[in-house]
Amino acid sequence: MKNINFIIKAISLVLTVGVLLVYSGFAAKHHSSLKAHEQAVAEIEAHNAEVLRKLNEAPAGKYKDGEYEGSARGFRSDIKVKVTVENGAVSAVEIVSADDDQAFFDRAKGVIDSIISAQSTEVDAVSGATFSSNGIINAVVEALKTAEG
Amino acid sequence: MEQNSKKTVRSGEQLKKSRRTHALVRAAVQLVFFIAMPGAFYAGFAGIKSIFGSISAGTPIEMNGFIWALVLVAAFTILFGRFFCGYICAFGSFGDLIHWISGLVQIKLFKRKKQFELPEKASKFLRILKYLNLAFIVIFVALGLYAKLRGANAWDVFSQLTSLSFRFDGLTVGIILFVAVIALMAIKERGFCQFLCPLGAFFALLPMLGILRRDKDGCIKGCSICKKNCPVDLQLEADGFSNGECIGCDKCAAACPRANLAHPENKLIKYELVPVLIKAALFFALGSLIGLCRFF
Ligand code: SF4
Ligand code: SF4
Ligand code: SF4
Repeated sequence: MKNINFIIKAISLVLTVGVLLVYSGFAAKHHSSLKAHEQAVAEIEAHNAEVLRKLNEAPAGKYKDGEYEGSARGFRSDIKVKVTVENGAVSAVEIVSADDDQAFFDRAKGVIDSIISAQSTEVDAVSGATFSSNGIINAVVEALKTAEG
Repeated sequence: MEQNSKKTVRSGEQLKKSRRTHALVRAAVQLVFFIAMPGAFYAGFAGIKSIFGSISAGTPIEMNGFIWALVLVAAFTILFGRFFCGYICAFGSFGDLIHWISGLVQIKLFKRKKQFELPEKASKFLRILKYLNLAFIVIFVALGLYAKLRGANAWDVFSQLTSLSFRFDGLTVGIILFVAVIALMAIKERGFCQFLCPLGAFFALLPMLGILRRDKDGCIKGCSICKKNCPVDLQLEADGFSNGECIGCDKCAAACPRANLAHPENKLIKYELVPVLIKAALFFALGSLIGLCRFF
């Protein structure tokens, strides 16, 4: 048959992409129910923490509320971040300045979500963008040093 | 076929000129991409890792910048053959530079008549390694073990160099591998591409529409000039499985006395170098769009 190799390769490609799409669809469903569950748990925990704080009249976390800046070396540049602490917890991390390659850096920003949801800087770097994401993590560590009470 | 027997035979002078022009244009395109998009191959392969990383974590595959880079290089390869490898990939271009320097050293310094060539049999065998390398990496990522290998690869070292960042802490194993890869590319033209590159292995498995086609009936009997000029020792078949190994350098096409190797688009545009520039411009535009260019 003519073009048999081409056809085999084309079919394998279509099958692979198909399998990945089906997987992604299922994972998305599973993931959203998981997220909803996690959010419910987080809300309850936040409520509990608030109640405890009011009872003890003391801050819940080890950080003082406020905004703190820190910087660390990224892939090609220094990354500067602004960390917001609310009710003793890290509520937001904003990139103030960075000059790493955009495709890598966009990806690296994923660690911000990890840091906020884990309330810790002991999170894994984003694979493929290790230098940029470690830069963000280290910058947050620097910022939080000044936030410690 | 009737028309083929009428095909003109290019004279030695014409061939020399054709090879020269092709080599110059190719080097110029490679230089531009080396400066502007040295991370393209890295981002494309990070796309593959990102897919298997998601699977490992059980999360849906998100369309991040890396996956767009993967889609771009894969789409280019399906449409045009491995044009990306031949003209754009900074690591491949780096390999060409090393091999060229190695040739100069061997001939000028050590007075050898010809640059050393690896026997075809050895190459054919070593090619298999890259598929194993790809499988190994994908499995490691899927098992969530890849993070442990951080820095233990030649590409991390190379991207530190091209990004002018020069941070080599934690890259000792990577540096050793990088030096080994340089040695390999000095011995064998595009040795890394042919034997080890996991992205190249992925490309070789893709169906390719725009790959060079050899019009077998129009060939000179017993001729194997294209094969002798090919870094991969290929004589392209109409539909051979190993056509995927072709790194898209177009060297064979520039050297064929009958101009008997052509991309489909060459039928529309007479002058071979115009499609090359169009393809390069297209990649530049799309690559810049998804953030691969270091200037925009
Ligand atoms: S085989 Fe790999 S290293 Fe070689 S040019 Fe292609 S992508 Fe680049
Ligand atoms: S160089 Fe290759 S394609 Fe051209 S005539 Fe000889 S065998 Fe045929
Ligand atoms: S010389 Fe070899 S690798 Fe280059 S385009 Fe021709 S067949 Fe492909």
